[in-house]
Amino acid sequence: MTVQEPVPTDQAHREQPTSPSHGSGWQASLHMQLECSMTGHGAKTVMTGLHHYGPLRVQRPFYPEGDTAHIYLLHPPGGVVGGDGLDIDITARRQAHGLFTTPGATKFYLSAGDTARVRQALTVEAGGTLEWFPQENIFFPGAKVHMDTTIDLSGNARFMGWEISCLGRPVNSEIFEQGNIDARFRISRDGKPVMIERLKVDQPRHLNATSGLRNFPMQALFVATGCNEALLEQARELIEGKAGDMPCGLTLIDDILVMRVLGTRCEKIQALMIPVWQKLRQTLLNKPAGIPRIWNT
Amino acid sequence: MSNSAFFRLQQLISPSLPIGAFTYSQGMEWAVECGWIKDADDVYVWLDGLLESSVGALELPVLARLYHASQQQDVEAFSHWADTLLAWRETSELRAEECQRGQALTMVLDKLPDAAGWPELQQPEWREALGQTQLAGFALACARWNVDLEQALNGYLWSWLENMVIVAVKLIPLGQSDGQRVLYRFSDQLAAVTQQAMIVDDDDIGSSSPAMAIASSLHETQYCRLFRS
Repeated sequence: MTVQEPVPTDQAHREQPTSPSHGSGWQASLHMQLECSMTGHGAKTVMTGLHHYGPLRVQRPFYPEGDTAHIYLLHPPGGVVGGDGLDIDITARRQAHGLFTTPGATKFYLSAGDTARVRQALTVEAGGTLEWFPQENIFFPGAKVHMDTTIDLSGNARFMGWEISCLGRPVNSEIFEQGNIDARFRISRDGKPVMIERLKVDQPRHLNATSGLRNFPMQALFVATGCNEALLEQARELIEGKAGDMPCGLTLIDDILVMRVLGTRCEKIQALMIPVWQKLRQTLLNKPAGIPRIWNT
Repeated sequence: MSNSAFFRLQQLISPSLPIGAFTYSQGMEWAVECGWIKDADDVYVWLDGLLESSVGALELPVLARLYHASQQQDVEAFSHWADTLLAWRETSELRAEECQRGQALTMVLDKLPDAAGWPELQQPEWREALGQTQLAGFALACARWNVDLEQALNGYLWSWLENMVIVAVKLIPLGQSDGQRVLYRFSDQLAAVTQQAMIVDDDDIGSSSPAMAIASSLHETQYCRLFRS
């Protein structure tokens, strides 16, 4: 553990950089490993080698379904502004199984100039399993954000996760008319790139491009490894007729089921993705359907 | 660029090159079916978005890197960029298209008297990359034939655009002259797309066209289809 800085409590506070030695904003990092540990009650996944710096925390894992560690990531409570840097590095070792989520959306505020940088490096060793289900990223109008999420898998490592992006604040009719978002999501296996996805918006025309966002403020990606044509078919049946006016497509890239949705409301997007996740969770991970308790609060 | 190089580039970008280019719509068949594309203006806007966010942001910069790797006989870089291009392909149909076109182009090169003697066509590592994406064979041929890089990118861009417009003319359907007007509307902006693509950093390469990716995914289960993507 390193020195703790004061935690900002609101956006106004965030206008005052308090960490001059690290550029213009908060610099926060969180590094950890998940390992399978034998206890008196059998095997369970525990956090080891936890290091955090700055306002990026993690709660103690809890175990609502036996061995799997459910872990809440706590982003900076005042949101993220230009110049902030968040660096998350998580490794799930052999036989470990962790499920990560966040208690709420991560907010990226209007930038005065600098770009906020978020790096999320997730590594899953052979035999390990990682589920990555943070709540949505909300990019306020004028936010400048560079996000890089990399998932490095070895051998038969398993991964399921999503990334949900909200441009502007549709509930308040605030459109992302200015700002700059570049969010990459890459999966590689044994060092070779398998799939790379990107959301890039830095011109107002990118919002209404007919082959791009089509004026939908939200874009979501769900991925799950270990899938095949039969599971793709079952997933398609699950969402059949439920997308309404939301463009929604599923495909299979090698063994990765990929689902993409455009929409206007987070709950509706999640209502399409969660049943697919739960079905695959049951089939591939032999874990019960259910959603993280914190989403209900 | 020599006259031979010019004409060889024309051969590579011709719709008559037997690599089946006209059998792929890259999601456009579904976009037409569902009403996203109804007329010539819609075709222009659809392709204009792809030009900026996909072809100019991904294919052309990767093509330039494959060309340099060919010139430098750097099979490691050549394979890396072929892998990267394929990883960016958003759906199983778009991947299949990339591989099928790559393999078909390799077979064309295998049978040309000049190209058949290239050592790259005999070596498994090069052939693996060539079979992953048509950009690989295109880049190798352009480098071998001393086609100027900028002209190679312009040529690739034109052949993509022409093919997409031919697809749209068949699908909507449009009159031939409507298709020609769409092509003509692009002629002033294509050179700038190439020039921009030539200065993109490695880190800034990558496509972002979510609705096209969804259209291509939905095309996989489209009931009645003429096209393979």
